[in-house]
Amino acid sequence: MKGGGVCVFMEQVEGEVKEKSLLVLCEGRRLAERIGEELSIIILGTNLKALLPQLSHHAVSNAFVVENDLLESYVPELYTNILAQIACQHKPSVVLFPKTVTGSDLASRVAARLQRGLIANCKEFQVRENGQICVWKPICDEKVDELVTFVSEKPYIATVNPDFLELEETEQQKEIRIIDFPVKIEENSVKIQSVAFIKADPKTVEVNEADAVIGIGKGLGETSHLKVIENLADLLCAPIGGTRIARDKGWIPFSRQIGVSGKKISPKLYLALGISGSNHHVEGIRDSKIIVAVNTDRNAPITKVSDLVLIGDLCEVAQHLTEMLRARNTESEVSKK
Amino acid sequence: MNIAVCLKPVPDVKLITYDLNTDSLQNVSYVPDSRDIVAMEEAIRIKERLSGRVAGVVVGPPYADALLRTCLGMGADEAIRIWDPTFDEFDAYATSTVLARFMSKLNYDLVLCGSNSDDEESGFVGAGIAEQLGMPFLSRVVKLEVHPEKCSVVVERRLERGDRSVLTCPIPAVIGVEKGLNEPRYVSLGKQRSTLKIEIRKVGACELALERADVKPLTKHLAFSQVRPRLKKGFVIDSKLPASERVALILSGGLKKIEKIVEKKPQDLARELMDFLTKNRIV
Repeated sequence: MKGGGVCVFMEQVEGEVKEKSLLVLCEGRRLAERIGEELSIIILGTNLKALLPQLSHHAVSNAFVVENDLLESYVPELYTNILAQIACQHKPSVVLFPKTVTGSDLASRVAARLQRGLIANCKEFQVRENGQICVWKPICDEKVDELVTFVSEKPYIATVNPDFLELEETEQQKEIRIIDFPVKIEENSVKIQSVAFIKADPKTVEVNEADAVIGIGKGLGETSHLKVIENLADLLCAPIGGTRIARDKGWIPFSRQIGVSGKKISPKLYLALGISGSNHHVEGIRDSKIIVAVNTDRNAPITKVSDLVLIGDLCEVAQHLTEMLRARNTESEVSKK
Repeated sequence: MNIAVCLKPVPDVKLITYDLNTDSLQNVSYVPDSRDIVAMEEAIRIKERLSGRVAGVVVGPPYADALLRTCLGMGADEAIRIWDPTFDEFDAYATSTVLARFMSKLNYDLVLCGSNSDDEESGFVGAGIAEQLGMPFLSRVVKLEVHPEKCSVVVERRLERGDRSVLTCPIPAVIGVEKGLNEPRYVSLGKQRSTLKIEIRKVGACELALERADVKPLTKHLAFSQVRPRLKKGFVIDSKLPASERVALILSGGLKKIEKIVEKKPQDLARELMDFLTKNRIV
């Protein structure tokens, strides 16, 4: 192995590596293989050594682990300082960040600190014969792709969009060598102070930001049925979105329309109530983890993309489900007491 | 409150297309970047509340004047366009260097910009300016309160899944704003025309004492292409399926097939759904 290797910044929350970081790690591994260099990770926080076994199937050679109570949550200045120190001492060829809120913010800061080029939102890496690394990235709202390359000194800094990737583990397990890294943590460099954290209210949160989303369509029938759905939405902590027809009927505002002309969503659960599943709508929900459809028509196109299809009247199903969820909530409250 | 707003004209992303035959971008018509114009609106609102001056700063060739006229129409006091014929190839790093150099001599209390642009979406310029000027930087801001008596700002920053974090930092600071911070005001044609009398200040490379080497870009554009397919794993279409379903599968990008169709009484259906949700740890 020659060269400085590919470094991937891993985000972690409470002892678990975020899935988006893992996806980027997979891409980092592919890139490292192609340029013939080692793959390393950078991870910051507390109690990190326990989560390294989670990464044993990703061909990671080295781990830069920085543990400190101050680093438990993302502190921009401290994180930037530490990454800059690692980059200066170990001179990796490429540093990759997941394109997430934290990843993008940190990548731009590190690039600015090191005076290196930053390519954001990478989709695909290309390695030319002379070893030059080029990147395809979507621009202009994903209408066009652009091929960009770095002309700065190494390390090259890039954020990778995990939405374009799929998880791929290696069969072989690999021991990760932990590089304990003496870092200077300068507390007095912190100018930005955290004041509070506001958890999203599921009822007002945007459909593309929620974990569970309820979608309504023409099958809802009447506006009066909306009340039933709202009760269910409260219990599931899900915003109500829907199809074009639901919007035309005034059941949902435009900001809650899902599909090609509305929003693209990627929740853990999408509950499609009375939605037939035209292509325009399905295009907007394809990234959902689990899709459950309640429909009276067993031949509706939505059944082709759902994990579970319930054939029946959506209002009755919703009502019964609401009651069950309520009963369960009271049960758990009683047991707590 | 002395505020600078960094703006950028971007191609209208709704109109732009890629032409395969000529290997070039078509229908490129420049409009103000949606987040930058939100930054300008916020700056003007702060000025209206606390008094002060707002300057719109653009790094770009002459077509960027239209954007500055819009800013003036909105209520900006000054419009500055930085450009030099020697700036041929430009990237985010070079832009931030030029902007930082320009601002270093002027004592701005706040520098506002879009958190990232509509076209490139790299979100670098804010961080680049902040680093070079030694100011704190906050990105993805959806609420901004300025406390001049305490010399600080309190912001709400947009996180994933609709969460927000509230942060505070001393000024001068660089703030990258998100859409949703405010609704930019409409500039009527009359107002836009009335700005034609105001002169846009033009700043060249010599005035900023910039050498060619100072504004060397660190990334380089190589080519455009039509949208390339995602790198997700391909899917194999079962050749036993009827043609119509195979076409539907191709159209839907090979979405997973159904696991289960259940047809029962509504109460049992609800039970089934409940079990399914419990199994998948959603409730």
